[in-house]
Amino acid sequence: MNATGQLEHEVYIEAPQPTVFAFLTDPEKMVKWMGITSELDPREGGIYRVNIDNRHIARGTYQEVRPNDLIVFSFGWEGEGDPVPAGASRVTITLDEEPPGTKVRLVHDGLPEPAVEPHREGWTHYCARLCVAAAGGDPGPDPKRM
Amino acid sequence: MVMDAALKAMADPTRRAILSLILARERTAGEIASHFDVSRPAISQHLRVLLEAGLADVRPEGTRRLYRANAAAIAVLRRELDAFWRTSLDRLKAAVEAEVRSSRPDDNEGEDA
Repeated sequence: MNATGQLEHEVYIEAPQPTVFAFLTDPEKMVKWMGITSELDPREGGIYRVNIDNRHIARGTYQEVRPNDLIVFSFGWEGEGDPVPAGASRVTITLDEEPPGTKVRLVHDGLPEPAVEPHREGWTHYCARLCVAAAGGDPGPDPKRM
Repeated sequence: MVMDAALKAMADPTRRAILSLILARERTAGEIASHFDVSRPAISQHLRVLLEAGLADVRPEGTRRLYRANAAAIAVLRRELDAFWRTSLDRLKAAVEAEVRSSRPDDNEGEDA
């Protein structure tokens, strides 16, 4: 336990665990909700690589995978000449059966946490890029085009 | 553009370590380098990447140059990542539930093998 920040999210999905798990680990199903292409080898040491929008490429290594239950992978962004090392930040996704569906919990930890609360102004426009890309409305190579 | 640079800058663990080091207070490149096993030029290179990405600032004081993390920029990155995951999970939900619905015939509800 170190003093790094962590992000947490939960979503309830009306589908059984195996269905949800498939969408998180099958490269073809992955791109139905995230990225343009993906390369996933969901076993310990396997690669996690999702091309979000040709500019942002998420990359990491699976650290632990329990079918239908748990997925842990290191997570970072690929940069030129910057292979993302195993010590990058970490994403943990847990799937809990909660009839009639599945509760998905995502924790992203290992991120630097500023002590100071920032001012919002002037920065919010940066959000557009990544959020729009993730929202995938237009997963073309130039998401800034609007 | 700054965002791209910032995301890439953050991908490197040495740079993240440098950031935490200069988050609390300003330090010179020499002080920073003394905390790491890498060469001084390598530290300078990392600092340049951090400066270009807007994640750190530098100011002169006499003959020294003092580096400090830009807490606001780091917070923005965190917020952005936060929004990224929230959006992604919403899309995951939509995609999974759409598939479940399409594989379930209306007139024969819930009857799969």
